[in-house]
Amino acid sequence: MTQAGDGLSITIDDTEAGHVIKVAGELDLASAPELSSVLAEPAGASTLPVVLDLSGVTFIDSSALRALLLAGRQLANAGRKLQIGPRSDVVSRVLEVTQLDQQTEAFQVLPDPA
Amino acid sequence: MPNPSADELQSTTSFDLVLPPDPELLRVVRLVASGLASFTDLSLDAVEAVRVAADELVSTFFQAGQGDVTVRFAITEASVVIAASATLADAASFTLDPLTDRILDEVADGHSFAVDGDELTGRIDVNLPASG
Repeated sequence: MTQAGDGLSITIDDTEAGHVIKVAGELDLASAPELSSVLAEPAGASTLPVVLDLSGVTFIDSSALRALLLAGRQLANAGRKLQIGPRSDVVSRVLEVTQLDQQTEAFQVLPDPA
Repeated sequence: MPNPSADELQSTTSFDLVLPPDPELLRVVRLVASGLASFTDLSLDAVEAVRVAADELVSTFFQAGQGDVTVRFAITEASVVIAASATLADAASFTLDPLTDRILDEVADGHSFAVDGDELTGRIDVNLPASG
């Protein structure tokens, strides 16, 4: 687990579904670089998708969305998919407002089981 | 003019924070914004909207500006107003990020940014519920 400042925690778990990165806390201009760093070096040479679990995110702003878009494009260039999996209501609302819950070239938003 | 006018601020609460462009201070900005909004009759959702709008406003200044950012927090008779000003690092290249614009469109009742020379000003308004 990594800690970025007081506002963010990141845990990483490799599962059959993919390389799961679980994020909790606040995603903003201060913490987005930590998320970018983790997304820039996903596990090994696997072709499994990188799945973001944002169910513990309590705040997200446009800085974090830009980081996700950039990371998704970089992963796509490397032949991997970035998927947004479980997410908090806060994240769902911002994805909807920015229309990033629809198809983008950068990442795939999975159906929310919640 | 983006900053609240003197008339607007008559009989209102307002104060300024002068912040170095340190992203860690956005948590303080959000805390102050939601604290100020909680003094009004805004719903919990609207208080959250003020918090989000303040973050987007000040993040824009932290990224585009150089040096300190002055942030004015105010409650007028009609709205919660947060206004900011700073010197731009590169006035010619400033554009408002489309994601920021979309989020502010949704969470604020009004938002504006203006460049005058090398100074950037901006404000967000979240309307108070009509009284009576």
